[in-house]
Amino acid sequence: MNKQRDKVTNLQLSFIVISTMIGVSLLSLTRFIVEYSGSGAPFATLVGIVIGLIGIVGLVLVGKRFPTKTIIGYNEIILGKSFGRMMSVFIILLFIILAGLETRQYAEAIKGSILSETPIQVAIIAMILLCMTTSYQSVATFAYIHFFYVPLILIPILLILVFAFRDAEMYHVTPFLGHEPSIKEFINGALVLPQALGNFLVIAMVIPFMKEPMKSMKGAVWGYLIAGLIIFIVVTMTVAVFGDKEIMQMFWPTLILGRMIQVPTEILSRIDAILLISWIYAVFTTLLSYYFIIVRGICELFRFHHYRLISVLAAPIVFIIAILPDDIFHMYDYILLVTKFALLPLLVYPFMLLVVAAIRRKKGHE
Amino acid sequence: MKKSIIYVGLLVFISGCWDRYEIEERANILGIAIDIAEEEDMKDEPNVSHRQGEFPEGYEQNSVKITAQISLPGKIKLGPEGGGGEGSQKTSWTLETVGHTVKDAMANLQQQLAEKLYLGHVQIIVISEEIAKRGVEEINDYFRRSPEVRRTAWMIVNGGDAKKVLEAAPPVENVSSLYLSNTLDNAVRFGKLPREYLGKYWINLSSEGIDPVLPAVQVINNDRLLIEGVAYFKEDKMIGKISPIESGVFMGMRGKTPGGYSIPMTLPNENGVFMVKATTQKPKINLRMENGKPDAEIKVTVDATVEEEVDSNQLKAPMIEKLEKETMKKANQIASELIEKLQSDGSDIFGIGARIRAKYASYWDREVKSDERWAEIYKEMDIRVDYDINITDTGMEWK
Repeated sequence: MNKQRDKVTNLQLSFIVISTMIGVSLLSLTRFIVEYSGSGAPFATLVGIVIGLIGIVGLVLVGKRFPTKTIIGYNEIILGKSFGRMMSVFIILLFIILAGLETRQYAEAIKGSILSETPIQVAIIAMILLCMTTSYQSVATFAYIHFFYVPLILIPILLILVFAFRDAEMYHVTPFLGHEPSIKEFINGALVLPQALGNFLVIAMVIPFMKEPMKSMKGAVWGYLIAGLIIFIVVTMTVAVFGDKEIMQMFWPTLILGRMIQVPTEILSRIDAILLISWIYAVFTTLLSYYFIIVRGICELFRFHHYRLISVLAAPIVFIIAILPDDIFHMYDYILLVTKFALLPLLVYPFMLLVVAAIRRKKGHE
Repeated sequence: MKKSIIYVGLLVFISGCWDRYEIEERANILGIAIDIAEEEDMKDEPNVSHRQGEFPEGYEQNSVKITAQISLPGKIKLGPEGGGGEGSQKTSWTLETVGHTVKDAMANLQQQLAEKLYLGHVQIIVISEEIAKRGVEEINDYFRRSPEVRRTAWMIVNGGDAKKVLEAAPPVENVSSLYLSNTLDNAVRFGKLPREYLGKYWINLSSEGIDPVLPAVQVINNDRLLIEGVAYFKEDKMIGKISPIESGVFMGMRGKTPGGYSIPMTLPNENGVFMVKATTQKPKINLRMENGKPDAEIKVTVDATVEEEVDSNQLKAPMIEKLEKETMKKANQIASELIEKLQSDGSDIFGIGARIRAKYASYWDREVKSDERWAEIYKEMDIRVDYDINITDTGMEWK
């Protein structure tokens, strides 16, 4: 690892967090929250964001304890060689599966909304090729790519939300707890958030390449809060415009929100195209982060630093996972299953590491 | 070598060739009209999606007749060279076919055309009153599912045959659907129609505690549309129509709108007629629960202007005050009669139910739960209106 060249600043770290968190799930997220929480979705989103915040803080705390190590590195130090490596393999496998499924989700949305006759494999391959050719770059390049795309993702999304304001109805977002509220349903709705956004784990691979890893808390938390705020606004606006009943009839409420919008004076008549383009950027940056974890993770785990080779080898595996689900319904089943039982527990994992590290008195040198 | 492989790969994967349809290979549908297909029409059914008489039993009787207005770029001259003044009959192609469902009819239509049907430019979907009264749920499904249909298009109800609307040929525009949809868009700007385009209509259709409305139109002289007010629904079935002035009042009660309608007023014991036009209308819906029963009060604040006075010439401050009072009385009367009518039909187009559902959630969850039950409660409910009209100016005349 050429650490002299790879110096990531705090600002770049927060941009990485933002563009990783805003991704494929942006289009469908609202539906899954509404499914559990009804009109309480905005509040459930807030609660979910707070839950996720705990996860990212934990991650940064471990990272600060081992400022020169990635998650793969300190897994081994804290948990011992065999068990630590097992956990690393598990994390890498999880992200391979997630990368596959989310690529598929992206392709389904593209197929369902614009390219209806293009074979779905083509959209998948195009995205995987793109990630493959960018993921073996240095950490600095990785950070630059994220830095470059964030404005392109955020500005169109925010613009659309501004124009959607006209159609928002207060009675769609109240009562704030949803109808016939039950704690279980509400928490399930809130947990959709960390399920969709747990991918901020990528910072555990970036922190050791930072200029000042000890100050990474600020960048990570700010990035998380900004991304969380945007997702909160998206969910709230979507629910305010559509109401819970209508959202439950759609796959991609955010996309349809884009289709509803009329810009005053009608300069542009189909805003959803702009939304889709910026969403594709968001998908790319998210999948790039997954790929980055996969490639860097495997290389570090097997101490085999041929990033190019690994990213080429990983591509067919991700592709196979992507085409595995039979249809869109199975795909969402798998995604919910994987994120619920694998990604969600990862939120508490950093705290477990911290406790074990404290007990075993392990610390990063320097 | 390496680069050339990448370029070839890019060509294949990023061009999206599979969905490439040149503009002249597309049959752009601009307007669709849906009528009930009579038995007579069904005799010529093309039977594309199924063999003769094999449409699933129990569903074959709800047949529809679809009329589509198609523009074929490059095939039909749209520009000025098409011969100015010919009107829209020659510049677009209006086709008619039948089917058991909307998709069935669309499949039949596609079977007759060389170009691929494309719904991305649909401006209006006209349904006949009969279809609207039968229920629109089944008709909407196809359009909701299709990724091509814009949610900013219009759905309108025509009293007679829906296809008459598409056959109307305005002399000023080449394609009638475009003129008709402009008529509707501008009517919203003038405050003559609520902003209830397709997407909004679908939202109100599926939301609990609010019933949707659609613009109601009538073809005049076979070349233009008269906006006849709005058609109101109970769930997905049309119940009736309200007149333009009533729709102005309705819009003012439902949400903030520019007031588009004028109302002729007279004063007791005075000569003359005054045309009072609302400029902005802003409602406030106050809900209350009393003895476990909801009641509502709609307060509407209206700014108005006097646009004309006939046979009076005495418009001064004291008169204005009198006029305001009279107008308030009149508006209150129209509004409460309208509410009464809607209540007896069980059609809650104001969204009072939705507001109660939002404000008194536990009441709704305990006692209401469904739209059907809400319609019953709504019928019994006490809804009062209270207008506050403020005449702000009288144009350029001070007399």
